[in-house]
Amino acid sequence: MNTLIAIGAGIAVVTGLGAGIGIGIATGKACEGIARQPEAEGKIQKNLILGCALAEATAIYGFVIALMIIVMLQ
Amino acid sequence: MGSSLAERLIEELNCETVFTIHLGSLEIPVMESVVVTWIVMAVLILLAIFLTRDLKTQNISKRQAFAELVYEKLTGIVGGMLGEEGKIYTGYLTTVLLYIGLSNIIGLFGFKSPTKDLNVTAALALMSIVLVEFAGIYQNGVKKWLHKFTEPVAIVTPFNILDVFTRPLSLCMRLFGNVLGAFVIMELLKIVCPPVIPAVFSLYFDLFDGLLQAYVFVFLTSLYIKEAVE
Amino acid sequence: MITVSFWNILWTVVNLLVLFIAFRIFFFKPIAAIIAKRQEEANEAFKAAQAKEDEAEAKSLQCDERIAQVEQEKKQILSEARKSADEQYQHIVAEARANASEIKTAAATEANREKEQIIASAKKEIANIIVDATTKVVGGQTGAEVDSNLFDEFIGKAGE
Repeated sequence: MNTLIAIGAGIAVVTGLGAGIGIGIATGKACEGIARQPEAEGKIQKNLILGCALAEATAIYGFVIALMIIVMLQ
Repeated sequence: MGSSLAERLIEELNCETVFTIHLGSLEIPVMESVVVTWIVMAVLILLAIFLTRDLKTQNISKRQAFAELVYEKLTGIVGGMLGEEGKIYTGYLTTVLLYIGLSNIIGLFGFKSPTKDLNVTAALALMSIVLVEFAGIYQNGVKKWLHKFTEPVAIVTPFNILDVFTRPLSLCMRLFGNVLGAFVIMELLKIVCPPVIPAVFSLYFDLFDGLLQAYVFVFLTSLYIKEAVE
Repeated sequence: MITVSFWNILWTVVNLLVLFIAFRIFFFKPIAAIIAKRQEEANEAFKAAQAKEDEAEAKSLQCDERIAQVEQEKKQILSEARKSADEQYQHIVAEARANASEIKTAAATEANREKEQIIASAKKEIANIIVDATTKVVGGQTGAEVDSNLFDEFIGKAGE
């Protein structure tokens, strides 16, 4: 049982993959944008941080689900 | 080590009932997060009273200058996100911003963050969605508010109705998960490599991420309100 | 933490509302009021300054008018003075001219008189000469030759 719970939690945490890819793409695009328009760096940075915080949420959801699996099924 | 970490985590995560109010036959439990919320409230209100003592129009003191700076900055940020039509909700959202911000970083002072309790974030998200729907009804009237569910095409109506539930859920889980995640990572770091390195990471996880999540919460709520009052 | 408790949610909602109302009373309202008041004061000060500026402008306009008036007056006085000076000049010139002409006429009459006197004296002399000559001729030679000599002599004397 415990093994199954651990596997379930591990699968739930795989959602971090999406967040990682998303933030990676966002950062890459932001760098491109800054390279093209260095004067807009402040605005791009602000939006990038906001976007990252939002994209991170999916990973956080996975983490919460994993935690719930561990806590509730034990 | 594993079990002790798990125990500590569970202990930190559990929200204990501090005391219970007996009101007739009702038993109202007061949780730890509520008590910490009171502390946060007390700090914020005392700070507000202290900052706004003997206000003057000329020859202002440094304290008043600071109070006005905070006021202008916060209402500027929140009002800018809300747009012209949603300006009346600036006060509430600024309060929420301050509350969540202080709640997230109060963990640094040895308290359990209220936002680490799912119920608190759920209540915040609930109030946000009530405010969003209220703003929509108040601004456009019931008819137009209902009609908005069928926009842009009638087929998306179920998704729009689903949105009413997923939005607060996402708000609630995002805030809760972030604070909890930051907390768990900090605990792990404290066990793995004390003492200097956790301080550096605490700067990011506790201070930056805490304030950023407060901002994100308010940003999303104001985004929904802006969309609702359009 | 993950267990949902109705009371906890209710507590939080109440707490938030209380916090919001407290912030409204203790933070937003006084600061907004003081900022509005300052704005009003600034507006008033600005208005007062504007009024003062208007006044000053009016005064300056008045002064300008006054200066223009004075300038006009000055011009008038100057032109008057010039006119009177001109008149005086004309007068003086006329007087001088009159004087000059008077002097001239006086001189002319004097000259005339002198000329006449000279002529008269010359005539007298001529007459004397003639008398002399006649007496000489009468005393010396006679005839037409003498006459012509006498005449020549006369002419020569008169030509001088």
